[in-house]
Amino acid sequence: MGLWESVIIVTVFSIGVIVIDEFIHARRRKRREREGAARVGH
Amino acid sequence: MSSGTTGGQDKRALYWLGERLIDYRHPVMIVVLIITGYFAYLSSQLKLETSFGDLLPQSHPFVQIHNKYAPTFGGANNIQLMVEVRDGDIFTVPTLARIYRITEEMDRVYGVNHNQIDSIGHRTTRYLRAQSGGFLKAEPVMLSVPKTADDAAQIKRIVHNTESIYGILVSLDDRAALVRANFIESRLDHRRTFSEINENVIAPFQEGWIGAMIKGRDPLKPDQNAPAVVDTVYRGTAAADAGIKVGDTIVSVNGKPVGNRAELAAAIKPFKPGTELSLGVQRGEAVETAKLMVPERDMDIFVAGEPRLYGWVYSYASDVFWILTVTYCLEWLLRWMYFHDWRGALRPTLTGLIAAFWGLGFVHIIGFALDPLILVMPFLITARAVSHAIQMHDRYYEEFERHKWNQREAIVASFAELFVPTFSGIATDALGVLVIILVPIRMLFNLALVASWWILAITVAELLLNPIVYYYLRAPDPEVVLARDRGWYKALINRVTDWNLSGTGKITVLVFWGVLAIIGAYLMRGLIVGDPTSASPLVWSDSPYNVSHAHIQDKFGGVEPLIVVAEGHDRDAMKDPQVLRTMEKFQRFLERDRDVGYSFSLTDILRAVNMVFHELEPKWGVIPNTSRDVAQTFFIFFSGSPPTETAKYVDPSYTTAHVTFFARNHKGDNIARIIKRCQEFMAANPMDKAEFKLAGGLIGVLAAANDELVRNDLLMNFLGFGTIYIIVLFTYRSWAAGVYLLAPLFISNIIINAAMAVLAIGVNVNTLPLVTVGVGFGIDYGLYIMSRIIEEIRVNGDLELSIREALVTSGKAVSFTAVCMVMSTALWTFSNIRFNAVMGGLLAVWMFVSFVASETLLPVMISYFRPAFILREAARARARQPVAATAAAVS
Repeated sequence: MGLWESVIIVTVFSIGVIVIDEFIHARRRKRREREGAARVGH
Repeated sequence: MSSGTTGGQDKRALYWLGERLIDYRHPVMIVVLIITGYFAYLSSQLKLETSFGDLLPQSHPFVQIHNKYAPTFGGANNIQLMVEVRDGDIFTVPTLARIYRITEEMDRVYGVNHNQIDSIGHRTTRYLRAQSGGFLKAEPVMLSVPKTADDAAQIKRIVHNTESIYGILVSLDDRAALVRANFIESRLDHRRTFSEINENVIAPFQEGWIGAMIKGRDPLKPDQNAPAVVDTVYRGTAAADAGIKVGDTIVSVNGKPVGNRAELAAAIKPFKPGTELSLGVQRGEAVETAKLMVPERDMDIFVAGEPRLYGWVYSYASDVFWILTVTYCLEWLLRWMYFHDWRGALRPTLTGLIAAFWGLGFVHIIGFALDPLILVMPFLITARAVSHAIQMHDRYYEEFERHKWNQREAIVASFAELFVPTFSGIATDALGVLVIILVPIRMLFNLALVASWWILAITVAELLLNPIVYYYLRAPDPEVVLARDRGWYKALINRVTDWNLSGTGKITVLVFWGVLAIIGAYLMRGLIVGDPTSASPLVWSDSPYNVSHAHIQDKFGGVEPLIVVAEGHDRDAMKDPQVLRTMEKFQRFLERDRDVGYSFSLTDILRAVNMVFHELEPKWGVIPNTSRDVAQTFFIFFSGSPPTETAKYVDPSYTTAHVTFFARNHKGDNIARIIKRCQEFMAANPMDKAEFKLAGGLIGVLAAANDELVRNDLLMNFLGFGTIYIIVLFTYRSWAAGVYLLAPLFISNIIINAAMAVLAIGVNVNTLPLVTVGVGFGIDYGLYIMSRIIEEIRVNGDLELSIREALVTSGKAVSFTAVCMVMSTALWTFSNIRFNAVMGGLLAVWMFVSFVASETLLPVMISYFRPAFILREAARARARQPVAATAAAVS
């Protein structure tokens, strides 16, 4: 493995983690909003 | 939990600075980015290189002698290549032809000193031939490639009758021959030497050998490609069976074009014996196909010596990339899981990256190159940078919650509250490693400067840029911050802290570290300066290099040179019989040492010539009695040789010569003993017209390096600890603070030294910088915990409560940074370079031991001894509170 392969892997990995993290948090926010809306509805 | 308010009053200036950094974020950011960009550009120019001279203490008298005489008498950079036949002896036409061609190819390797090659196939290896009429002539053993069995038999007779060859360049069992080549230090290019030897010297005659001699390059046209033209086909070989004829040009192997001998060997090399290959053979204009059965190997080639060793090390250096990739990804994953947020993974990366650019750029500015053996060091420093960033990020979350989710206040508070421990940690690390400059070895001097600068560069990212980066990043969700106080990790830290601070826990901790320190102190007595084993500790014991080295040592007794110079006071001093007899006596004296294989000097030539001059009668194998007879004998041997050839034995004015001993290994204690015995002999045997000067060759320069390390090791340890003590003194304004913080570090140091002794890791120019960095890095954990205890006691006034609070907050972050530090170095244990693997493992253990000692011993000591410098903070805080309350009432 050379320098550039290494750089590409770590960059892709970092972006992957960021995307997954944002996805998880977005789902949690949506769920909270849904739960909040449901409570208001009741 | 601390409010930070009381601390805030003491750190008004830092709070102000934090605010201003955010206010002026654009200009600060632009300036830092421009400088970082410049350093990043310089980093891209970096090379991986080892400068042999930089590894030596240039002011040491041994090295000065080495430098003075290495160009003529040979230096420390020898390559020994041993050719060993599997059956019979070397005195067959094909084998001798290959030895001749191997020597020829060795002579063409870049950087080789053409006058310092020893081999029966080289022009400088001569024997004395008696001709009719009593005329004696010194002739090369092999003038050309032998053609017939008679030629081979004649060479065998010459070897058996020449004392300076038999047992030295040809093994006593006739199965192996040695080719020894010395390299010019200023032209050392380890990667190039390594590949040229592999492709041109080994492959065509070992794995790529088909039983035919293929023409090599024309020595007069070295840049011109030479097609693979068959020069000789030996009977009963694979080439003969395939119908290959003299004059054929082999143009392809299994359809793959080959342009010369090296390419042909490279194409055949991957195939196992017995495999049938189709060779494209050009005869005249036509290209025919010959079916060749890859033959069983009939000869093995082993190569050892420092340039070869470094060649192997360079070939393994690309390990750094997969280790970097795996470490980075694992650490990202860990930080993401710890902080529950990608910002917690990214922020420490930025700190590590900026510091790395500044560090690597500086390496280029000072004209230093990275050595593959110090690659663990950048990892360790980057891991330290990341650790500081983790501490800061953890504190940012804590302050974010405390300041009711106000981002700006949290940024400033975390900056101000952690400024002192972060800066003290960086300063102790940087100054701690700077003490290495005391060792007068250029490489260590440069390394100390670079490491120090690199560590200081952490302040740029961590203290200058940090508040700005946080300001730009979106604040984390409150649920992310709150999640840190839940979960198994937090519960584990709470439970361990409670046990540690319980009565049983405290006693157990004190007894545990006390016993460990005693065992460590006992074991560390085995620590050796220099290399502790005969195999090279840089690569694994079963590595091709160490296997070759062991084979050559077994066959020839010793291959690592120690050159002792006999420096005359005047011209012709080396013709004085007393000088020559003392040299001879010196040889016999030191050869009795169990680790000296054999020796060589001018006297060996003299005795051999004298004997040949007297019809080979052994009784004449002595040094002549008068200077005139000595001069005549020398004349007989050297008269037909060019001055460049004789210079390797004696200088043209016969003022200076040398005695070269070949040691079996370069173990630190053996080198020390051999040098001591040399000094004893020299003191007991003074010469009128000359004196012995120590010492060149690998053993000589290693003796010098070990000497300097012994001289400076204790001083460096003292100064390293002293520097840390002084910084701690200024940080906490207490004489006792340093004692508390250094105690865990001191015990860790004992344990690591013991581990080095047990694992047979010697103190040398490679291990010293890593070990010294470890001393400084161990202190950081303690600084964070101590600072937090002081911060807490200002608020709650209770020591036990403050210790507990410090351990479950800062201590938790410390434990996580320790995991990251350990992991970043531990992955190096999978490196192909044994040195990096061992040092990576050792540093991982060191980081772990320092962390455990800081988390257990330090708080227990503070709890038991209740230091005044911590308790006074509680008193000060109490004194301030009524004033603050009055001020609040008035307002």
